[in-house]
Amino acid sequence: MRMLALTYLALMAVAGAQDPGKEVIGKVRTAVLFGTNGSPDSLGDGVVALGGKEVAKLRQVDKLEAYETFVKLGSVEQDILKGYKSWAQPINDSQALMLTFQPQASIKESRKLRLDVEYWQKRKMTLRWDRVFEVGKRVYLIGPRWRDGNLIITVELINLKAK
Amino acid sequence: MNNDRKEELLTRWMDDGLSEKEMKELEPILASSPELHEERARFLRLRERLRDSVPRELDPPFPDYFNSHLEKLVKAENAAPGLKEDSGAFSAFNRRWLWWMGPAVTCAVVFAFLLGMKSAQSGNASSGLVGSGSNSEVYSPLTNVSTQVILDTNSDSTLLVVEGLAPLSDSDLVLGARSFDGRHGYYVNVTKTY
Repeated sequence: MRMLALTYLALMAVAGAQDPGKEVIGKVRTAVLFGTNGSPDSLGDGVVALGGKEVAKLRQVDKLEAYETFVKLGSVEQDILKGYKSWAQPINDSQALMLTFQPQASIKESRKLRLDVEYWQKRKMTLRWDRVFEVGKRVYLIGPRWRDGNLIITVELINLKAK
Repeated sequence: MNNDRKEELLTRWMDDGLSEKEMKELEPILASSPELHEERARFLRLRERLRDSVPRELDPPFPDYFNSHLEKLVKAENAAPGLKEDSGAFSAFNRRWLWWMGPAVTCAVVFAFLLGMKSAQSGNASSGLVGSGSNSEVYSPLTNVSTQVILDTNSDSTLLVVEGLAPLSDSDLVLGARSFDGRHGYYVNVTKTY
């Protein structure tokens, strides 16, 4: 029985190694931020306050101007596989906000990657964004209202593997 | 017969669109230039080959996306200044050109779109290069959702403001006393999904 299990695992490993679509070509960090006028204490211990520069940038948007406090609720780093659509769930145990990433084309020399990003809200594909992402440059999606504030989803290509 | 009229008759003759009277009007021209018959035969052969290789009707893989993109292009074209129809011979030439090339251009656009969708679904990330100035496309299947892209040049970041999203309820996000950081691990093989 043990031999069978080992053989199965070995076969699975070989099959995985042979799938060129599983090649990791980069990594994306997705985070959920929250702008509010309420006390961040009510959000629990896991939140992280945002820095002044980022807050100033967010408050330039009309929709967020009124909020005084901005915190990060959660984030996740996710490998981008060459031939796979990757699903990211930036807040633990919450499937109401999810994103998918599917690579389209890369420009290695300028550290850019074209990604098809989908924003899923409550299991419904709500937005598809086809965009060239550059390593280190963050993209903010000013999303839905929640409680007394507004949620913001950030997407950042944090590395792009050289071929 | 002036050149405009001659061109119009020839164009329609190529496409079997002449009445008997118009055909008689064109006959002297055809008699003086017999090579036009060979030209027409070549065109008809090409048309038949195109008809054989391209299906008459084919639904795009994402019809709503295709339609919204097409609608956007039409709106942009209508809104663009300087594209208003000019009067005179140039305008008449443009109309004839559109009438003549319209079906071929439509075929080419649909074919290119389908080819694009096919390559996008292949999952081959290194299959093409993208220009740094290429535009991004935002699409939502929800009619009440609208977006605005703001480029923040100071911090070199982009903000996509989405309006019309349904608010989330308190219970939609589960926040506890521990870290809320999410998890990954969901990967879908796109070559098998589509």
